[in-house]
Amino acid sequence: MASTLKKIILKSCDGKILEVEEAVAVQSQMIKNMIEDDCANEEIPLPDITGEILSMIIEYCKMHVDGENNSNNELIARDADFITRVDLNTLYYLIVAANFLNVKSLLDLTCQRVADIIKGKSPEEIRLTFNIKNDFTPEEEEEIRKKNAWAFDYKD
Amino acid sequence: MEQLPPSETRIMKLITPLNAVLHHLLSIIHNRYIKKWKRSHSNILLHSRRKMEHLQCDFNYLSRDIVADIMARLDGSTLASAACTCSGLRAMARDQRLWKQLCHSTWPSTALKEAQHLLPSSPTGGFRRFYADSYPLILHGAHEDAYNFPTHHPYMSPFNFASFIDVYYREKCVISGVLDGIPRTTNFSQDYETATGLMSWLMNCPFKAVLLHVSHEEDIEDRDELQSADDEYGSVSLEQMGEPKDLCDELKEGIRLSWVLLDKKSGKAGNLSSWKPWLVKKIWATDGEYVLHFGCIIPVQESVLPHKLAKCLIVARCNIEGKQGNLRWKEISMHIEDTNGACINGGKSLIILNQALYCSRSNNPHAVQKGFQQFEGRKQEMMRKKKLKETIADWLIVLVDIEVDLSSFEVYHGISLSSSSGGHVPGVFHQGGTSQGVGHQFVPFASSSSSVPAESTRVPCTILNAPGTGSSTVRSGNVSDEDVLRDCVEATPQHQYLVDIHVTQAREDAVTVSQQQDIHVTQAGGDVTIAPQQQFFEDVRIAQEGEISTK
Repeated sequence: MASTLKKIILKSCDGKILEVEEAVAVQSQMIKNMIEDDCANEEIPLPDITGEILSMIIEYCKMHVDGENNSNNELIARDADFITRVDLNTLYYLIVAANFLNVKSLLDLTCQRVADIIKGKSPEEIRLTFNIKNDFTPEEEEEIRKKNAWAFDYKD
Repeated sequence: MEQLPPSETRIMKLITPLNAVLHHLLSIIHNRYIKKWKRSHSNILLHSRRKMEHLQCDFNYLSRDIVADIMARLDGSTLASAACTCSGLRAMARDQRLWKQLCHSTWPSTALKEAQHLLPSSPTGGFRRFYADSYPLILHGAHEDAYNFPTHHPYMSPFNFASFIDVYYREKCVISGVLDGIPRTTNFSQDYETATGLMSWLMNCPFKAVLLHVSHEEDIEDRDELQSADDEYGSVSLEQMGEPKDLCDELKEGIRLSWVLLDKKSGKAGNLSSWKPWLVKKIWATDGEYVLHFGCIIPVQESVLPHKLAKCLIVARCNIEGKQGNLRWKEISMHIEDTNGACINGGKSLIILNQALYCSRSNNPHAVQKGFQQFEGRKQEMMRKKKLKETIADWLIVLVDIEVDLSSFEVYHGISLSSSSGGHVPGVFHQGGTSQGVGHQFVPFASSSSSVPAESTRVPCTILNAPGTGSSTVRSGNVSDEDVLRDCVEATPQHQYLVDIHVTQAREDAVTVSQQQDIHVTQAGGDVTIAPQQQFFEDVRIAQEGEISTK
C-alpha cells in the first residue's frame, strides 16, 4: 500500500531532522492522530524532544513494528534489553517524550523500569536516587517514619 | 478557461461550497486538537523546559499522572517507603485505591465476595492500615512487647475475628478462603451459640480454626467439589517432580501461606503465618501426605502462659497426585501451642490471638526466622530441663533403692536412707502429660514436681544413722557430658545433711546405668562420700531397669 511507504518527517528541538516510515511513526498515537487529521504532510516539530531521545524512541518503535510477528516472549526480552541499557537521566527524558508522543507501550515500559529501580529502597535511597528534596519538618518526618517503619526498618 | 458541460458546472457549483465547509471543519478540528494536546501537555512542556536546566533528574518534574502511574506499580513496602520521602509522594501514597489494589493482589481472599461485608464494615481506617498490619510478619524477640498489650481484655468472642487465608504456589494463588468467626471444629453436643455452650467450648475444647478439612471417608464424595474449587484458579501442578525429598524441597521453596486475622471491632489485623513453611515432611503413615507447618511465635503475658511464649501453628496437609503432580489440599487449620507443645483451650487462645494483633512486626524474614529459632531453642532447653528433672527424680528413687539395698545387704556401716515421709516412696511412673510425650515423667515427692526451680531442687529427706568420719564414693549410674545440674537434697534439721548430686551427662535414652556418677553426702562442713561395691552397683541397675519399663 502506498500509505505504508509514506515518510513522516520529525524535527527535534535541537534541529535534527529524522525521516520515519509511517508504519513506525503511527506507533505514536499523537502522530497517528495527526496523520488522520491530515496534518502530517510537512515536518512535525517536536519542541521538547532532543534528537538523541527521538532516535531512541524511533529505534523502539521500529523494534516493535519489525517484531510484530515474533513471539510475545521475544518482544519482552527485547524490551528488557532496550530499557536496561538506558541510564536514569535518559529514562526521564524517555518518559516525558513517550508521554508527549503518546506511545503507550513505551510509557508502560519506562514507568515499570522506574518502579523496578525504586523497589526495595529505603526512603533515603529513594531521595538520593531521584533527587527528591525532603520537605518534612523533623516532627512530621518522625511521625511518618514511625507509621511506615514496618516497610524498611530492617534495612537501617 | 474551457467551457464545462452544463451538468459538470452544476456539480462544481455544488462542490465548491461543500469543499469550503469541509476545509473549515477540518481546520476547526485541527485547531481544537492541537489546542487540546497543548493544554493537556502544557505541564509537561513546562516541566521539561525546566528540566533542561537541571542535569539531574527529578521526580517533581514529572507530571502527576506519570508519578501516579509509577506509584501504582510499586509493592506495598516500597510505596510506604516512598511515602516517607516527601510530602508530594506522601499525599499520593494516601490514595486508598492504590492500597485496595495492593490488598486485593496480595491477598486474593480480600477480593472474595464473602470478604466484602467484613472489610468495609470494620472500622479499618482503610486498606492502607490493613496492609501495613498484615503484610509484615509478627516478630517475637522484643519481650517488652508483652507489656504494651492492652491489659484489660474485653469479653472476647470467636465471632470477633475474621480470617483471610491464601495459599500460593510460585507467586500464584491456589486457595483463598475467608472465615468469619472461628467455626466449631468438633461435633460438640453443646449449642455453640448459647453463652454456656460457648463457655464450655472456650474452657474445655482445644482451640482449632479450620479452613479446610477432608476426612478420609469424605475424600471420595468431596472430590468433585474440591476439583471445582481448584478450577477457579486453574488446576495446580508442581513444576518439578522427583523423589519425595525433592518434592519436599519443591514445596518448601514454592508454597507460601498467609493467614490474616482481623479483629472486626477494632479493625486491627495481623498475619499469623510465616509465608514460608517452617517445616515440610512426608507422612508415610497417612497415604504419603505432605505436611507443611507455618506460623508465628507470639509473646504473651505471664498471667496467660507461664513461659510468656505461645506458638501459633498453621498446618496444611496435601497430597500430590498423578504424574503432573497435582496438589490436592486435605487440611488447612490453625491452633495454638505452648512451649511444651500442648494445645491451648479456646478462652486463652482468643486472648493470645488478640495479643498477636498488638505485637511488633517486621518485614525482615531473617529476624522472624531468628525469633522462631529462639523459640525452638527455648523449647529444647525446657525439654532438657524436664528430662533432667526426671533424671533427678530417678536418682531419688535410686537413693531410696540404695536405702533398701543398704539395709538388706548391709554393705555399709549401718547407713540407711529414707524419705521424710517415713516409709519408702513408691516409684510411680506415668506418661509425660504433653503431646510430645518424650520420655517418662516421675513425680517422687509432691513438693518437687511442678514448682521446681530450673537450677536446683530441694527435696526433704532424712538421713538416718550418719556415718562416721570415713568417706567413700558411690559409683553408679547415669550420665552426661556437661556439668548441668547441681541438686541439693536438704536433710531434716536434726541431722543437717546436704546431698549433692552431680549429673554429668544427659542422654537421649534417659536413664542408663552404664556410666558413672558421684553422689556426695555432705555433712554440715565436711564431705562424706559413699561408694557402692560392685554387688551394690548391680543391684541399683536391676532396680532401675525394673522401674523404667520402656527403655
